[in-house]
Amino acid sequence: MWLDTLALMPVLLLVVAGLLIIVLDSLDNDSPVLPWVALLGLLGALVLELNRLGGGGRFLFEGLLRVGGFSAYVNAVLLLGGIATVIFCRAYLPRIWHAHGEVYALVLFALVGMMVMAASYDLVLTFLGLETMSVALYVLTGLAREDVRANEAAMKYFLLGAFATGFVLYGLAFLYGTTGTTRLDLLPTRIPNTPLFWVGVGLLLVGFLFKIAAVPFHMWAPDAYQGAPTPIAGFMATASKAAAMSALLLLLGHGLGLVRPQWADVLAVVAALSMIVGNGAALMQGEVKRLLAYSGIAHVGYALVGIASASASGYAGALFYLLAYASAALGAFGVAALWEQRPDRQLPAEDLSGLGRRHPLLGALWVLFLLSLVGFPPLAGFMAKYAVFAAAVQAGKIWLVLIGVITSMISAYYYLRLCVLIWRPVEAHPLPSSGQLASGVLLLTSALLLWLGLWPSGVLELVGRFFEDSGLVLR
Amino acid sequence: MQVVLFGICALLAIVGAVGVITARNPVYSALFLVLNFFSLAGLYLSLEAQFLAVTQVIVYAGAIVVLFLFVIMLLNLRPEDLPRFRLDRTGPLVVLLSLGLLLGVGMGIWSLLGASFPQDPQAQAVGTVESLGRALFGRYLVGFEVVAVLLLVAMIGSVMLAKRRFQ
Repeated sequence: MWLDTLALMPVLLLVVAGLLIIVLDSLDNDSPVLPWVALLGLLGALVLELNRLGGGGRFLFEGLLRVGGFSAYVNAVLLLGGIATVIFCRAYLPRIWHAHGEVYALVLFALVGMMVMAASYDLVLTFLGLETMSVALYVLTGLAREDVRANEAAMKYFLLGAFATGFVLYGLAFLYGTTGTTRLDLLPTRIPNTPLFWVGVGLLLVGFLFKIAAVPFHMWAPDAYQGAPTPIAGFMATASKAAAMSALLLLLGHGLGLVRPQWADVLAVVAALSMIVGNGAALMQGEVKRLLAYSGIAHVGYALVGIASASASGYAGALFYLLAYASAALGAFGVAALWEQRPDRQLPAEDLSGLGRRHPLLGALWVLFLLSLVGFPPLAGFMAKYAVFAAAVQAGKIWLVLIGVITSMISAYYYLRLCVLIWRPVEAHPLPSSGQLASGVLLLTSALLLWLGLWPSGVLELVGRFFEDSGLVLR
Repeated sequence: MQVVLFGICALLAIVGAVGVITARNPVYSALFLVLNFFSLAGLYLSLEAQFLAVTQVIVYAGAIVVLFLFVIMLLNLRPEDLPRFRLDRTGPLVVLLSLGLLLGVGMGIWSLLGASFPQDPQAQAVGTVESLGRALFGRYLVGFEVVAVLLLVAMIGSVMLAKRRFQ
């Protein structure tokens, strides 16, 4: 038992850092030390997770959780997102007069929930992780309490999220009722052929697809991202999606791996709809955060193409896609957070004009992040799209790949427009927040994108090793 | 005996649930909710989940409904402010979707009539405080601790959002 608890050290570290922040905050309100405490905890957890990345997974607490391997990889992605979010928050929140110390604790606790989801092999625990993450995000969305738009965003996200939670619980109850277990390792041997079981699976899927903002459960995302503080929107768009996606992958690939044909086509349709609606709606957006929200919906579609392939290479592709998308989207939201200066926290696209001439480095990074989101060749986005599309072709879903390629080309229009816009010869305002640390994070993220794009084989092999050919056993 | 008890409790639960959304006066809605909670507690009892039944009454029918009533009292609604229950433009769609969900779930349950459920050998004693405690502090200890974080998040979040801060 104690050894098992020790293996949960990364999660415990975040809990301790979060508690420490709360205590320090009560002693010295909104002290500037707090983000550093959060960063220390996050970096410690990241080192521990990277350390067990290569090794196989290990079950803890009689098969309740599994650490290392798959969960170490997803947790590393989540922690990268957390580190970037804390650093961007440190630069951004004082500007909107909301540099509350509790924000950092909530980000850490949200990450605790996400990391539990990525490691959980029992749906009860998955649900608890999901709720911990969601509750923290509801609060963070409504941070700017005096702003009507933030209230609307938090209210929509909370009500719809609570509704989705109801769906997950309802589905979970049916699943337990028809199989007698909530454990993912026992589920494959107990799948009954009753409609009630499939109703349960369907309800669970609705809940999870809501959390990753896949079409047709995506309506909340643009409003929530627009009203939330920009770095938090980036956090929601990357880390929370990665966590829910990995939990979905564990449920479908592992728990329901034997009945793949039954769910693969459903996911393929959802993926196609997400790519079409996400990219189509993004074409018409004038506000950068809304645009990035729709682009995030489209990217969820691309990652789902990997899962819908229902093969080891597809799952691995989806995992690779999560990292590539998270790095690029975090970077894009980071630049938006640094550049945003309106008191109503909006960033219309035309506000970007002149950014490149005023700050060439920031402008170049912005272009790099967007090009990776398009899937431009030497960058991570290209390799990620290639990985999921190749898996879909192997699985015989050519139509899905066709939709993916066509929507990618359409998406190039709105991404490139934003790239060109910043080099307009307009007199632009100086950078509102001094963020050397934030710029450093952006540089590191862009380096990661280049590395993943130019030498992807290392990471691709790593994620490939998590899955055997059957797609059933996660090592 | 059990069938009769189930029938009474289920009927009352449905009456309560319909009453919650159709009652015009929010106080009546809250009282219908109490009826619904009590009937659910009766259903839990018939499933030998004594602990769940007791918590249902204490936490939901007791604490939560009292909170509802406090909020309704503080809002101080006048009778003319109260909306009438009616279906507006989106009404048919809502009814259609709800009926669709009901149909799906109902068909699933219908298919189970006469089917045998996988028997969990420990299921007989699963509702007692003892077995619940063993599960909570045994296999699900990690989950129990995660709930601690979840409740802490809810607490910190509500304090942060509600605290009056001018900077």
